[in-house]
Amino acid sequence: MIKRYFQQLQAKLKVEQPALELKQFELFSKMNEAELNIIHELMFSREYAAGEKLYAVGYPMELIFFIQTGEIELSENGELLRSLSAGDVLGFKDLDGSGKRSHKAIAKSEVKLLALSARDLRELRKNPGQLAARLNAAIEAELQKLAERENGETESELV
Amino acid sequence: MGKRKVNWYRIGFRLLLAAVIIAALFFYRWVISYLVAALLLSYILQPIISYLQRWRIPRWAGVISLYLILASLMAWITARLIPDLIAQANNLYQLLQHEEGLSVEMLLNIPFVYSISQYAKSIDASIPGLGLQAQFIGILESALQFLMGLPKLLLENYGSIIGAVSFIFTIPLISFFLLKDWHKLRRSAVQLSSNRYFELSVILINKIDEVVGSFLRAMLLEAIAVSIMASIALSIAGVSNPVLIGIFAGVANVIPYFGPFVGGALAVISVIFSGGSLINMLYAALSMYIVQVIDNNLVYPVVVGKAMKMHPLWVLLTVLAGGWYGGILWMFISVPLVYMVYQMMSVLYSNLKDFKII
Repeated sequence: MIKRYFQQLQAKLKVEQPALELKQFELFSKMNEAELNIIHELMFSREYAAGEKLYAVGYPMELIFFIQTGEIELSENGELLRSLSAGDVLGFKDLDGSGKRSHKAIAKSEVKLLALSARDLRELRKNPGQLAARLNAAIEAELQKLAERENGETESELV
Repeated sequence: MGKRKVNWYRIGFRLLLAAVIIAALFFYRWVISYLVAALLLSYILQPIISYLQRWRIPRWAGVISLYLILASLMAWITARLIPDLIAQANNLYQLLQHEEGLSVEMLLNIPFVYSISQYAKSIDASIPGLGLQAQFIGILESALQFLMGLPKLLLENYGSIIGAVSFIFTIPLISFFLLKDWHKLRRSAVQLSSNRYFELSVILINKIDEVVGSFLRAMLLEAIAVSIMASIALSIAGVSNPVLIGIFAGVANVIPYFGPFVGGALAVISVIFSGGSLINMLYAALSMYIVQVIDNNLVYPVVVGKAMKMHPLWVLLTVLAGGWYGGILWMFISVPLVYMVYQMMSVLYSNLKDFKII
């Protein structure tokens, strides 16, 4: 009985840790909880209905999207580039470019995602300490994969 | 194409929301100035708290630590400077509240003023009927009337001074909560926007952070730097009340083009009142000029970065409008305020165009 009460109490006191949902993205998979909390605090949560536009070609580029559920279709000049789904990241390709979106993104199904501002990401990368070092290493690895993907698909998409 | 159905529930809710916002603004109107001041303080301190957070110090602990450091610093500065400042303010007060009252005769005993009066008299002797000396004495009487009114003005407004003290002590408290929940508040503000304006709202919030935050921090650092430099330079030049004038010059420096002249003029007036000679006046003016040269060529480019691009005429009109609107305080804050609003509007306009909203 005491054990049951203790379990109930534990369940009541259980603190939700939304930052852990970032673990589903390869970019953050090697980070610890404290680091994930710092990044998660800077993120915005959004939901898009099927058919809703995330952005179009030429729009200012500020957000990097992390798809939690659903599917997103990318196109350029009316031509379908690819589809992205849960665990994929969207926006890295235009991060160091002209500051404008190079393609169009539309939700193919109902989509739930997290968004991180490019400015916040730059600030995180500039700061001294382990977090910036790990983040820079993870981003470099992912960008490397992006370059390799030009010749074939990888497990997780980073656009 | 079918006619789009009007969603009366949505329209009704928006009207209700607008009514609630107006009612809230009316209800909280007395504390809006507190909130704005706390927000400005938060913008200045926010990067330090975020930096500490990256070193795993919780935001609440970061804010408290920073407050303790700032309070200790202010206590130290107060202990070191306040006795001097009180003495300097008393000097000025005694001068204006002389036993017999400040008279034109007293002013004519000041060597510099006396020499001008004598020069005017000599011109009068050469050109009969000119009355230059009488006109000069008339100007002195007008200036005296203004100066005599200053202490009275301060005493009559003691209620406002007490209000200002409570204002100063409440701001850090409000600012504590703003800084602690900075990211949550930012996220809540962005959540208000629809998906269509999501990225635009993030860009605008970032721009507000950038423009307001960096501008305020730069202005504060520049004011501190100019205050210290001016105090040192005026001390070397032998001007009386150097710290008081130095601080005033630092604060006045936030007004581009005209602020530096105010500080310089105050230094020269101080020399005149303390009976200094023409060469002392030149030293005072030269010391303030050197401070301005260092500020313009070293401090401003490093601290503020690119210069605040406002036409001198626009600055003049803004300062005058600020003065008419809310007195000396608004003369100081009107130029940075107008500059920040202008920056925000230009960013909003260019992004609305880029997102093809307008």
